[in-house]
Amino acid sequence: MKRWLPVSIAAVLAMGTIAGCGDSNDNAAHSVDSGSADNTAAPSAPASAQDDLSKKLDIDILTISYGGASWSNDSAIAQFLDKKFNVHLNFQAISQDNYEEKLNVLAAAGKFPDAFLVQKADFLKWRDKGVFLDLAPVIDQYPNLTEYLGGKESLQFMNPPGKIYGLPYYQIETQTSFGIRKDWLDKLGLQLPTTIDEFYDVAKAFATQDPDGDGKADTYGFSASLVQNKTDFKHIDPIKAAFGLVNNWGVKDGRLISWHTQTQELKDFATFMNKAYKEGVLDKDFAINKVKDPQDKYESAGKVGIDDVVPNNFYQSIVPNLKKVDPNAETVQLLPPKGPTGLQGTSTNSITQKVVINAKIDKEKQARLLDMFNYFLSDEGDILTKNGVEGTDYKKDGDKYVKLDAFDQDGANQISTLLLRRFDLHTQIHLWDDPTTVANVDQWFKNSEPFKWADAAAGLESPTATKQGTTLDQKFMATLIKVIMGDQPIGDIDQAVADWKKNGGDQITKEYNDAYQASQK
Amino acid sequence: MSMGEKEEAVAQTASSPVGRSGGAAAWFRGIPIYLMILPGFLFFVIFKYIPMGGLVIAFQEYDPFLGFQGSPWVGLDNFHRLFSDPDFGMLLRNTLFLSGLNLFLFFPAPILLAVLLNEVSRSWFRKSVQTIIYMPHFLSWVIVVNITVVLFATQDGGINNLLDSLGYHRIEFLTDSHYFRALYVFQNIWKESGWSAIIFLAALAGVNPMLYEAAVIDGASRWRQVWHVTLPALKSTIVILFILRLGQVLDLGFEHVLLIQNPVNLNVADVFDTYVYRNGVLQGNFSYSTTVGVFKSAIGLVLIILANRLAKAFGQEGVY
Repeated sequence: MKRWLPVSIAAVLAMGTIAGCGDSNDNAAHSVDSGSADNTAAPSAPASAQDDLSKKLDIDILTISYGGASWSNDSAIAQFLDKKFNVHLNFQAISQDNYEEKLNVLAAAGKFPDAFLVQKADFLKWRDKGVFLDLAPVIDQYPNLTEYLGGKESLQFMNPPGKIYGLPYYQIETQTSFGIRKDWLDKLGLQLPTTIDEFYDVAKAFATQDPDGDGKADTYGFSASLVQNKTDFKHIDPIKAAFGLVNNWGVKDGRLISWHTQTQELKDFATFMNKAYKEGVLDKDFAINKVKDPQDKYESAGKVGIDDVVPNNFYQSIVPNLKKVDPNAETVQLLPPKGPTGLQGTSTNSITQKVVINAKIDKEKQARLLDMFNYFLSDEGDILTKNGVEGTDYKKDGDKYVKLDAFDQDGANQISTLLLRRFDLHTQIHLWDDPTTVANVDQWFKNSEPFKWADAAAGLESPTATKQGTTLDQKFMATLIKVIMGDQPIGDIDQAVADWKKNGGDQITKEYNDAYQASQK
Repeated sequence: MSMGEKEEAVAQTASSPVGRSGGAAAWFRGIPIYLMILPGFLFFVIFKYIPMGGLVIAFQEYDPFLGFQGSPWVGLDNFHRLFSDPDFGMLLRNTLFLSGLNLFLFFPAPILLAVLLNEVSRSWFRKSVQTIIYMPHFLSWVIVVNITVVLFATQDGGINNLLDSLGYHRIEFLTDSHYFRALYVFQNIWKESGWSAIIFLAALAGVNPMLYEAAVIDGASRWRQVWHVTLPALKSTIVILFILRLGQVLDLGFEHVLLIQNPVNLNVADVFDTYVYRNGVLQGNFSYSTTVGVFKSAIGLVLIILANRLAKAFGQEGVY
């Protein structure tokens, strides 16, 4: 044995983690078997049993966090739910930078939580593996699920016919838009830019003419970051749209095309970005920023002039934080600048994230979860999940409502912001919010509405994209970023496009187009 | 390691008289000793050997929802895919390059440090220096890398702000791939060399002071003392650690590399470990990433055997 020691150490070092998951995989395999056996025995069984709430259940929920307080079981809302549903909620929210990783590790270990949020790629990857509970047989027993989640069609989206494997997580389609420092514009005597050239001039003035008046050249025009798996940019969608790039996939002559193949548009965009980078207009750290860094830099440092803003956050965090750095700071909405050919588009979400229930857990738990989800979407539940518990998180003062400290400390609105909520523009508006603020937020959404820039392949599936898409897109991005940073000549984009197509892009395009044609019938 | 050596020593002392006086009695006499070995033996069997069974998924198209039994067998397909991957050459080159840097720049650093500290005669000074240079070992890579970002970022980093205010150009330390390798080794040395020096200092503590005295009497200078007394005392420790290090030549500290990777330096920073992470963990190709792991271990095994032979050929004691 001694002779083999160093060998075994060397061999096992690399394998320890993967092999370590082995035992639990085995268990997972068994539970798959038993799970499917149950399903065939009683197809409509899950959740149809009347749950009398008599048994206390521990329920694990996992979702994406965007910062803020974490869930506490001492919070008023946790205790309220405990009393109402007899549950001990283990509500965990993880940073979006690590979420995909966490979920895949749980998958390898066969230990999914009881209910969790999945993003598009993972949803499609696991959809037909029997891991998500099919809600179709029981959906009618929980009327709020159909009523407040965009109707049957929205529930059916991304699912095979007759199956509903998850509930859509609502996102406002045109949720974010550019905000710009009005006080800087005024100081430099500039107007709100309307075209991409004016946008550049303003951003450059912000970088070079010392808009904050501290005598130092420490400001810059705009920032950017990459999405968590480094396959695309984040926070500069209106610029991409102005140059005619599509949002991942667009329709041209009845066929889907990927933004990876728009050579001319890519070159225009890269030329613009390269100039911005060289002249100090663009944040020089954009390639190493974490997803949310640009927004954090905008609101906490006060050195960025233009930023991608979520109107709800705008009034609740950006304005108060920015005031701390610079009392004169004022941010106004900047409509998407017009590109050279007059194109405009704003950052646009597709509702592709799903809240799913684990198919392997007790029927009792599944029923309890559905009861709770149904309640969250009811009128009473909607108020509760957005505002917390009356008396602890907020109170009534005359005919007005007042927020109490516990609301922020406990993050009493996490269920609504992170897990499940109605299809409703006012997802983050609270009882106590000033009506003018509400009207302002509405106005931001309304202003961006005409500039929708939708992903035409949202919800479509391509097996090749699921398997190799990330690596392929990352490579493409590496070249594009290097071109922007001036490490590679602009002509290298041709090669990047060709490589993308050759190494799987053509196949992905074909698969998406087949799926697209099928969905058009 | 030490457990294995003891076992051998024990086995020798126990078996030499046995050879003459016959099997059973001696075997029974050895029982307490075998019992002492048992926990260590079980540890390796349960936590090191049994999990190796999981390697079968390298030959399957493993699906966690089907398990070992249910997943289809694909033979050597995963290995074909690895060796025909256009990135394979780049991954191998990067991995070996970074390992080489580790081996030739980072590995000698603690030795140098230990020799230097050994020459310091004021013990309060030596002890406080030692304490301070241990410290970074206890910081996680996340912290070390974030400190680096705060210092070296192009837009807001302290060093670049300083350069800028002095009228120099900003340097893209983090996003220019030319700096990546230097940064990687520098971080390793900063974080770990103090800690790794401990074992060499321990070896030096065992050197008989009379050797130095004799050298002084023979007229040896400070340099000569280091060359003829200190370094020979460290020789066997250095060789053993070097062999062990060779076995891990393809393990580069996954967390560290991943944290300092970005899309711009990927051409020099992508190594097998991070490749496994992106393919295996993020895209869920468990079989394929296991294949890469098997390949890595095989290389490590070959290197260890070669290094051990080499050490023996030069008259040193190997690890086995």
